[in-house]
Amino acid sequence: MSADSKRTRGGTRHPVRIASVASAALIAGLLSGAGSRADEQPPAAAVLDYACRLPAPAAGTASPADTPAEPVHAVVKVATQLPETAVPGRPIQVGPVQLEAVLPRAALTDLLPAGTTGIDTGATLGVHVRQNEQTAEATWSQLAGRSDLPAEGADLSLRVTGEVPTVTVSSPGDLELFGGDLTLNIAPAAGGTPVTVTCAPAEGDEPLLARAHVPGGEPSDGPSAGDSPDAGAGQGERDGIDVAPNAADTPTGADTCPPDMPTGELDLSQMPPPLPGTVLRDPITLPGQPVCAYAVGFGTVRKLDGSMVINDPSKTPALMNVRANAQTITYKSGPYYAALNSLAEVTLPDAESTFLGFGFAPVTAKVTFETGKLTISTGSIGNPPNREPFAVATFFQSLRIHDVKVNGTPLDVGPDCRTSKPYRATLRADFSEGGGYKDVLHGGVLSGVVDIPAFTGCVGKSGENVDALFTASISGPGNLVTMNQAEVCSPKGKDSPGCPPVIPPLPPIGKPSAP
Amino acid sequence: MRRLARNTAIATVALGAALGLSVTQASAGALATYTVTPGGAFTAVAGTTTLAVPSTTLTCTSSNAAGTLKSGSGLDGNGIGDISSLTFNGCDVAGIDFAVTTDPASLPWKINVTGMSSSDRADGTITGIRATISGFSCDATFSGSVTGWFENSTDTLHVTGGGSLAAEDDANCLGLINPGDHAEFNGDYVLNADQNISMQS
Repeated sequence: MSADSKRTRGGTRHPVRIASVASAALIAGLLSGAGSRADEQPPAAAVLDYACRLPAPAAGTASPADTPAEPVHAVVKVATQLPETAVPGRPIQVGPVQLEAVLPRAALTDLLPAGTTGIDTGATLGVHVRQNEQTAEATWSQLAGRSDLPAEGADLSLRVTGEVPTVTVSSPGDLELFGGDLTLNIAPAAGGTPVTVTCAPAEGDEPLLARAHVPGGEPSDGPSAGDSPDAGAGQGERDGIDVAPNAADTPTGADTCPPDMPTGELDLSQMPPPLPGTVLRDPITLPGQPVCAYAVGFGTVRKLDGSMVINDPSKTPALMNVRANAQTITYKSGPYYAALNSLAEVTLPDAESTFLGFGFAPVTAKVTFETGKLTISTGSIGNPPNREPFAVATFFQSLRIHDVKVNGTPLDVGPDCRTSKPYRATLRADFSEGGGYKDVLHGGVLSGVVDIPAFTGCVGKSGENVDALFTASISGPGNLVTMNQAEVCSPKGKDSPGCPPVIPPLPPIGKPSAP
Repeated sequence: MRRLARNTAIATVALGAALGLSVTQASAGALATYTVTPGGAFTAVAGTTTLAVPSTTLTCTSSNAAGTLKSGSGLDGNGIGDISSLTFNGCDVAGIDFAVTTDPASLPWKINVTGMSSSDRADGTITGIRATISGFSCDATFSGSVTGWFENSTDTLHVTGGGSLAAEDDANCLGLINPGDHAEFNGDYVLNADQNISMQS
């Protein structure tokens, strides 16, 4: 496959594949191609039963309570549109989506200021995507709308609409979309504190939203790499279901690499050692060559059982600037060992996270990453046929938390609420079959587990120390970081392979590879 | 091996000087003739081969060669055989795959025998080499010669680096290979049939 076919920019731009926000996970395949909205079916409308949990009314409202209210029943109508038939390997355009949630009026009006006549609603609907034996999770997070709050009536209707990600499958077989958890962020249109309503499909309900037929022979329930016209684009070597935003919504990345390569010291401490008997030559320092790549992924906070998107590909992700091959290490005698060491830097954008703090209170926060220089080492160990490749990226990082809201209410934490010290993050590639990593130039998924230090400098509105709140809920070991690195752009190479750099899809949320 | 050959050459020159002769090693080589038995077409297989440049080493898991050895006696060592095809498999640098291809226009490469270190060992060179390493952001063509020796007892052509093999001016390989970089090509090619080279002076 030529480098051109991998680009996501220009006239043949492939949609960047993303399952947005924390709950999204790409189960398997990652294919792309030109989208199509031809031969659409009439809009399908599903009427689903949901159980919604509302926050407790604030003191002073009509029905104050000390504990969260019991779940209330909601009827959720979801109308969307799928092509009548679809083609494996081609993005299936879903939507636009119209969602209407009908809730008991009394339950909501208790949560809103008196005199509210209009409501702004933002909705996020989790969607289970199923085909044959494959499943994937999509998140329809761009749904929004304004609804009137009539003076009378037993129910309140909240309507939202929006565009949603495309779905790409690699095999024939009926594609089905099922409704998952629904989150409604409700705020008075005139301004005021929003409230969050979390809903789940009622037990026993089969919340089918839409179905599309994907003809093309016998369904496949297993991988069949390379059978797509666009297999190999991005992470196209894998099969299954891919969830991606609309091509029109995909951000454009940089045209090429930054003019100056990063400078600094390499950190070789996380490199795997050579085999016994290997004698190494002295490391050779080279000028290096400029390359760059996007890497996007998830950071999972173990205590909160939630993830945040790092370098969100649906927004404007940061480009990693690399001095490739700043140093080489080669064996002199004994079993083979060779490593190429590169130095990189990236200034990650703030991550926006939503967790259920202590299991029930929705907490939103922005996270600023302060990331040190990265050392990326790639190489291989041992003589054929037992040679083992490796790729490892290591760096130190600090977190700063700000713009915190608990249940929609801002929580002042001060400007310097951060981890008390930098922590090391070491991400390693999984070269195993299905691991999806080819080499450092072509990219793939790297993952590792980090130990988040205690927080410090967190100061509440009244000057009280709230470090413990974050230390208790976030700090600790076992936090998985998974990043998907795209193919690098090498502007100095012949025909500038990989340029402009590609924004990759989010990786699956999975287990870390073995160190 | 090259060291041994060089020492032998020095000893030869020293002996010649001691005897009041003015015969150089080159002219001695020119005077020598060789016998190849049986000669003819051959194929050869090598296990791991390496191409080392100053900054790193490319390895290939295997390599296949084919060529011809002249047959008979009274043969000139220069061009005593040729290599008409050479392929490399499973080549990588530090886990990054690269392809190695020979330049068809450069084939056949010449096998030259320059002397015998022992009855089992014919020293020589391979000349006319031109091959390209290519991969993601990597294109580097090497040309020149390498040294080596043929081992009669094992029918193995040992390619031992040295020579003039170097990257051409347009080499561009992620900063790993630069124009003028000398390359050490090493590999042991076992021929598919018995061959024997001997020298008559």
